[in-house]
Amino acid sequence: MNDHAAQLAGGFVTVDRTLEQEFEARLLESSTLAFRVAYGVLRQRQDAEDVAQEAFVKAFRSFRQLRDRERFRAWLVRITWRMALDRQRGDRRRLARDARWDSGHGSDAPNPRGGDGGTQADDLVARERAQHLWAAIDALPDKLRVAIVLANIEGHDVEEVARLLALPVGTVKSRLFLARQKLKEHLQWMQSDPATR
Amino acid sequence: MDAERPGDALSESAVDRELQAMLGVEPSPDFLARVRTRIASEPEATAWWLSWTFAVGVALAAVVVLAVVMARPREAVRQQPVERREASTDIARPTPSAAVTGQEPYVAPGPYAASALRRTSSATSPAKAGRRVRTAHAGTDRPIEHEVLIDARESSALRALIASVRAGRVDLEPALHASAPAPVELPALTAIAIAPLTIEPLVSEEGVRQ
Repeated sequence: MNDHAAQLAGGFVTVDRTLEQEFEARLLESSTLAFRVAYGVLRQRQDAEDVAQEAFVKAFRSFRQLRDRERFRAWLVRITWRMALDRQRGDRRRLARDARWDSGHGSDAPNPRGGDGGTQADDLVARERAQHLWAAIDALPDKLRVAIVLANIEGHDVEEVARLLALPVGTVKSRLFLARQKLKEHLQWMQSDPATR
Repeated sequence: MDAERPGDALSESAVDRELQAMLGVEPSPDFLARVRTRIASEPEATAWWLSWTFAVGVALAAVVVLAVVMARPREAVRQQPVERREASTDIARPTPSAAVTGQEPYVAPGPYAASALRRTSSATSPAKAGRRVRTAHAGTDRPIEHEVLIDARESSALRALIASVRAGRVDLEPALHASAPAPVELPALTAIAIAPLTIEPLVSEEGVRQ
C-alpha cells in the first residue's frame, strides 16, 4: 500500500515537473507577446508588465488545460487584452499620464522614426504623429483594435492573427482592412485639422 | 520615409511601419524574473489539485457509507412477510388478556431486558413463524425470538392455569357460566332535613377592650 502511494506521489511529482518545464518554455516564448499586447492598450511599460505578469499567473493556474502551444498563446493574448482593457478603463491615473504625454515627458514609446540623431523639430513632429496614431488606435472598435495590434507585433501574419483570435482568416483580413482604413482617415483628419495639432 | 511625414499621403504600409515601431517595445530585463517570482508565490497547482481530489474522494466514500447504513434497515423491513406486518399491526395493542385469549402477545421491537415469556420451542405455527424477523444490527439471517413484555409472575400463573385446565385439574366451567351476583338492596331515599341558618346579632359590651 505504501509502495503504491509512493509510486503515485512520485508520478505526481514527475507530472508536476514536466508541467513546470512546459510552462517555463511557454513563458520564454510568449512573454514579449503578452507584454506587447498589453502595451498596445496601455502604452505604459510598467502597467503593461504588470498586466502581462497577472495574465501569466492566470495561465499558470489553468495550465493543465492550456498545455497545447497554440491554445496557450491564443488564450494568453485574449486574457491579456481583456485585462489590459479593464485596467485602462479603471485606471484613474490615466488622465495624469495623458497630461504628461502632452507635455512631452513620461512616454515609453520609442521614436517611430528611429533614433537617428534627427533635429529636435523632427523629434517633436514624430512624437506628435505617434500621439495621433495612438489616438487613432484608441478610437477603433475593440475587434479592429486587437486585430491591428496583433498584426503589427512579433511579425504576425494574417493566419497567425486568425489563430490567436480563433477567427477565420477572412474575418481577420476584413477587420485589418477596416482598421487600416479607419486609421488612415483618422490620421488624415488630424493632420488636416489645425485644432488637433 | 516620405510617407511618414505629416503632410504626405498615408499608405497602409506606412501606417503599419509606424505601428510596428510603436509596438516594438521590449519588456524590461527583469520582467521574466518578476513573473517567475510571482508564480513561485502562487499556491502549488499540484497540491491544489490533489487536495481537491482527496476531498472529493473522501466525500464520495462518506456518501457511500451513509447510503449503505441508511439502506440496510429499509431492506430488512422490505424482507418481512406481508402477513407478518399485518399480524404486527394486530398485536401492537397489548392487552392483559392477550395470553389468555390466545392472541399473539405484543412483540417488543428491541432487545428489552424484561423478564418474559420466552418461547423456546420452535413451533411452526404461522404466528411463531411470523415472529422470526430480521434485525438490522444482527446482520445475519438468524431468526431472533423477541421477549414479551408480560410480568413473569403473571405469565407463570397463566401458564400454570392453562396447564391445569388442560390436565383437567381445574374446571373453569363454573367460573365461565357463573351468574352475576344479585344486586344489593339499597335503602329507600329519604329527604334530608336541613335546619335553617340563623344569624345571631353580635353582642358587644361597651368599655370592654378586646
